[in-house]
Amino acid sequence: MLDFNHVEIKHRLKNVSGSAQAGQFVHVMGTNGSGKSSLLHSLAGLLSLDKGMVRLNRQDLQHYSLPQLATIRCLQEQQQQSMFALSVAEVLHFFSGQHGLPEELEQALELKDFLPRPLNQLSGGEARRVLVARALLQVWPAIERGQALVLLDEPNQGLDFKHQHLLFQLLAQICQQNNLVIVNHHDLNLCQQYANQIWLMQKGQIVESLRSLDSISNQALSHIFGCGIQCAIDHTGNKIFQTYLD
Amino acid sequence: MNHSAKLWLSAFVVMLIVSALLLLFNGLSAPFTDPIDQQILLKLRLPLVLTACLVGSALALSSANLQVLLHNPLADPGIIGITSGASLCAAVFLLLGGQLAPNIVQYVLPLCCFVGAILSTALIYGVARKLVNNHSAVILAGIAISTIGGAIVAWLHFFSDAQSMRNLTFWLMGSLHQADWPILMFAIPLLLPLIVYLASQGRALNWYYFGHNSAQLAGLDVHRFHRKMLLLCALSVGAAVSMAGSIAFVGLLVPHLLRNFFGYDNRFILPASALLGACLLLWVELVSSWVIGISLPVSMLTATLGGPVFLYSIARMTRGAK
Repeated sequence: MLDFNHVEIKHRLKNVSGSAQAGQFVHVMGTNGSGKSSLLHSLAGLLSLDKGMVRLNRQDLQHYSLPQLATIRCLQEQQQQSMFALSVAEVLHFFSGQHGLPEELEQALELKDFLPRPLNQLSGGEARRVLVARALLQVWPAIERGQALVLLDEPNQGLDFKHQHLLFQLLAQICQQNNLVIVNHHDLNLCQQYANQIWLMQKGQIVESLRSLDSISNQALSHIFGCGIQCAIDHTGNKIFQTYLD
Repeated sequence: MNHSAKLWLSAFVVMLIVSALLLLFNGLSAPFTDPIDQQILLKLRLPLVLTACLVGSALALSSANLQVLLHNPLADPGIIGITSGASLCAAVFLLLGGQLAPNIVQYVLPLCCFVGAILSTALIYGVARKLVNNHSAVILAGIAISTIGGAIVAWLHFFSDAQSMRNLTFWLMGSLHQADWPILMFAIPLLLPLIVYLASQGRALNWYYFGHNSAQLAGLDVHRFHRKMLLLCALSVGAAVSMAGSIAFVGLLVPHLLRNFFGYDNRFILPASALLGACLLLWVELVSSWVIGISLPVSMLTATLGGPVFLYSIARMTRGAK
């Protein structure tokens, strides 16, 4: 569904290549400034590339018209603020063109209670849930058809534990509908629990592309993240990651 | 747009028509068979009503657009320097070319304003492009250009004679009585399509509330759209200032008041701003003739009436925010 070859952006990405198929839930991880957000912006067609090409459904992203692209791919950016006191309902309505929320979205993000409130008065986590909903609503018809590319830049930032799991369960469900979801975040345990494809980034490059964190050693992870990483096994046999400073 | 928004827009249209008719026939008695009444209607009142409608609409609508485009609720043509560019050119002409015959002055002055508005927009845009990704850049560039414009006008005052200074002072206070039919014949075909077009960009402008990236992600060619909208706003402000001089506050007051009561949907706010902006200037003229009996500089009244309403609007907004 998505492939990118030799993508270069000065000071941000160095010769990055990769591909992902419909139905995959890709988690992009790495240290601050390793190029995760730049990669997502490039895949969304928002950054112009110095070199390389991004193809969606075997067609160069540059060949899509902007309105056409807007119906099949969305990106939730990290920083999105407005100088105006728009209500949550207005924000969602402007970007989806429809009133009301699909049931699945409401169950995962629980937005109904603050629909009338101004977005800039919500807590960080609440506002993040709204912005994720806004991005998903933009391509909701394509999600239902199983043709969407969903890019989310730290969607779990500020979310409480319950909503992090509700959100990732929703995204996993969206993947099962044959859509491609790519998220970046900093939680190895969420990655272990939900990802079926992992890109680990370091200094503007994808240094590892894995199916699961089981296939990489703690030492290699420690090297990529620049801090100590060890794991324990919980009662169900799953790995639990712990981080510490060496 | 929902049903109640459409109803409100219809109510504004009715309000505009009633206000226009009130001003048109103010102090005249039916059945208007008196040739003097007919002359007053045709040569004074109709141009006055049309000027008020066009100028009020253009100023309020451009501001509503600029505030969202520049991500700054304080943006209005005065603050970002378009008006001061127009005023500067007008001042240069009035003070240096004021000795020309009055009938030439009457037509060259609007042209100077228009050129001034376009030049200052180009300058502001040029400066702001150097500071890309900085939402405040256009505003800061505008403030700088306004200050420079103000300084040049002050120097011109220093070197000008008393009559030219008086002309300039009155012009800077704004008047809806300057435009006559020859000016309207140019202004109507220019402003009417501009107003209709600017009022119809609500859907795209709604995507702009969260910045350029968010609008582009929603499917808008932001660079083209941004350039086009800035230019069209400058054209309409330039035309409005050319017709009526510098009119304060309409652009800041009307969109804020509407957003306060009706929310942020630009599909409603833009046409409603155009209608309410026109109504506001009609009311200013009506108040001026009913209460005071003479026609006062418009800016004086828009600021006097608009200031308290704006304060109320801010107080209401702050209460809502708690």
